[in-house]
Amino acid sequence: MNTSLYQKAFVFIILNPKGVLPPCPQGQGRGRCFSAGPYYPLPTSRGDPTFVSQKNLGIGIGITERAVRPRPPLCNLLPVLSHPAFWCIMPPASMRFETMKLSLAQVEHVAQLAQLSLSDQEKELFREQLSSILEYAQRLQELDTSAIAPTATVLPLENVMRDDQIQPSLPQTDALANAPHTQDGYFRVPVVLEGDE
Amino acid sequence: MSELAQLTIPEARDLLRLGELSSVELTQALLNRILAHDNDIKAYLTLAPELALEQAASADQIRASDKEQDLSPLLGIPLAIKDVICVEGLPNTCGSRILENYVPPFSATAVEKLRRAGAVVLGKTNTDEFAMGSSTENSAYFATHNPWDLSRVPGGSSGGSAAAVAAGLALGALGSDTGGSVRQPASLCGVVGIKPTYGRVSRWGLVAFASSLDQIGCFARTVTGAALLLGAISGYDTRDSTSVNAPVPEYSQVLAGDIRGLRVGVPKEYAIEGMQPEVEDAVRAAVGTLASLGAEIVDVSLPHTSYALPVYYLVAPAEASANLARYDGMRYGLSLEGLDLWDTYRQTRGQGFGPEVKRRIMLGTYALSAGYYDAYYRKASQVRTLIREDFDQALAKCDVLVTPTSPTTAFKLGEKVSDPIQMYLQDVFTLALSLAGLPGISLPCGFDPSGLPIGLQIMGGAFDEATVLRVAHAYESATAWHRQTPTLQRQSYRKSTEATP
Repeated sequence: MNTSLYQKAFVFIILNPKGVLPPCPQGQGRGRCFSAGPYYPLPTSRGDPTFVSQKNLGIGIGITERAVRPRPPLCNLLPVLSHPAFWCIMPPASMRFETMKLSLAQVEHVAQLAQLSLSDQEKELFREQLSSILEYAQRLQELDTSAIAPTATVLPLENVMRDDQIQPSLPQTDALANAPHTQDGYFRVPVVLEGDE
Repeated sequence: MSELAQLTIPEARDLLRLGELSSVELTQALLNRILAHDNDIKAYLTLAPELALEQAASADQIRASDKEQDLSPLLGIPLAIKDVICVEGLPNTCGSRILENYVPPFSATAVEKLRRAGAVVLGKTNTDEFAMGSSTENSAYFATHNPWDLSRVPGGSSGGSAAAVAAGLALGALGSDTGGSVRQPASLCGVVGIKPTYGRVSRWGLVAFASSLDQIGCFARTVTGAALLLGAISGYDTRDSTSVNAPVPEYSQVLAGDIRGLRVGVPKEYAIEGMQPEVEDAVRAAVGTLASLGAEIVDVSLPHTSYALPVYYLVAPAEASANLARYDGMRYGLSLEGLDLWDTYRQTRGQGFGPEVKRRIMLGTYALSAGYYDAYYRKASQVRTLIREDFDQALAKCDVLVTPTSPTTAFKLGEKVSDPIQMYLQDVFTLALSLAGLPGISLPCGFDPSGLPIGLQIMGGAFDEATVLRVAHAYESATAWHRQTPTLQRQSYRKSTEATP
């Protein structure tokens, strides 16, 4: 698969004179960006820039550094291939998604945010599955939504006010009935803040 | 005794009113049938026989003492409740290990209303874990089997409720619908399932999955039964600020009108590749039936339909990742002691949640995380607006929209478990409506050559359940699909499980 990617890219560069290649935006390293057109940077969870192309070309999603394949030796031999503009070429449809896979570090980071312990197998499985679901979700980038307001709820929500009156509520014993640990009518939880007494 | 279990809600209501049947007899008949067949179908997670008989006896007592009063049509009718809707005193597992021992100290508003109407609660039905799934195979306890063919899924996530109603293990049931979880199992099990407009039914006591989409819906074997249930549970509730203070029509009264001149829209985008040909044929024939009843058929377009799936699978997991943050092992549910507080959270959640729930929490967390929010969650919310506008425009040209409910009839257990996207595609026809917050119903419109039911989806405008029900009732009255009931085949199931390693 890798070889075919570079072979195809090679054919493409031969057929397209250097002069018509789009310029690569400032600060964008080689091997970092695989899609053409206007870009806007999106910081990744690790803080390094990745790029998502806008609207029409949107399928070429940005990649993080970790997900980049090693560059082939050809790059060192042919200056044209190592020109930043080369890496900006929109790859043919057949290979657009090859770089989308989440890294293991990203999966671990998300699991940490979600407070989930995952086995190594689960991490690998979710890496595959989330990558393909996100890849599928990239279809949304086909639509220009720059002038569209987001929908968070279908209802025209308003504040709901009521008088501050005491109303029946759950008895304390009922409220605590499902708790794994209780003490003196409270939920008992592990130490939250550690330090000197 | 088994004929009693095959009664529809209005038939049972009439027999109870005439005094030809008592609620205790009816409830006992259903309990007997559950004992005989639920080992094969596995619709129930919790059965409450004593409680049910007690409620039935008190319903009979009310009827005996209040002869002159206008009694609720649901008085003494035995129902099943999906295990994500709280019933005080009965376990509410949500099909998850993390809530295995959770017994809610209160009932959901919808359940309270049913109880006030005198309905009998038989038990709690199986569901995909936290209502996340389309086959009920994601339940942490066991998969439910389709009563029409026990080697197949009942759909999901309200598969237990749909299978119970189809098999005569309850006269009606409550489910919940976030992206199709009432309509799709209704379709696969050959029963009627309605999802009301977002805000029509209080969500208080419904365990939250995706709060901007979740709605409680109803199952019954006929449209009238579903209308009676919906009427009983609808209405504003101060405990749910997203329930809407709009008048609730007497749904069972609006069914009778004919549909002459009513405009029925057929969206062209719902003819998709990969749809089972029998489904397409059955729905086309159903449109013909509606035309022969005097409806005007209008071609309409919902151009953003194909984006509903990716929008849903970003929005719903994003909301779920926030909602499910409450399962931390501190106040209720599973609690596994870790090295410290954080480890306790991670162990509890890592062990307590099943794979689909973890997958969606991960997906939602990613879609909301710094740097990806705009590209995923915000983008999806913007496309959701486009999907809503599609419906506004289409419903300006017609009164209801008619489509298949599911692209296929019931599939084999295990067939799609390992491929999330294939499973998600089951909901391709139901998701857009959920994202727009509009009401929809699924009702039987045919059978495929293997004898599996096909569902017709009728969708309507906001808070216009009445028109949706009226069209469904007109179609049902002109056809006989709903009269077919599955022959419960215990033998063939034993053979097929022996054959599979």
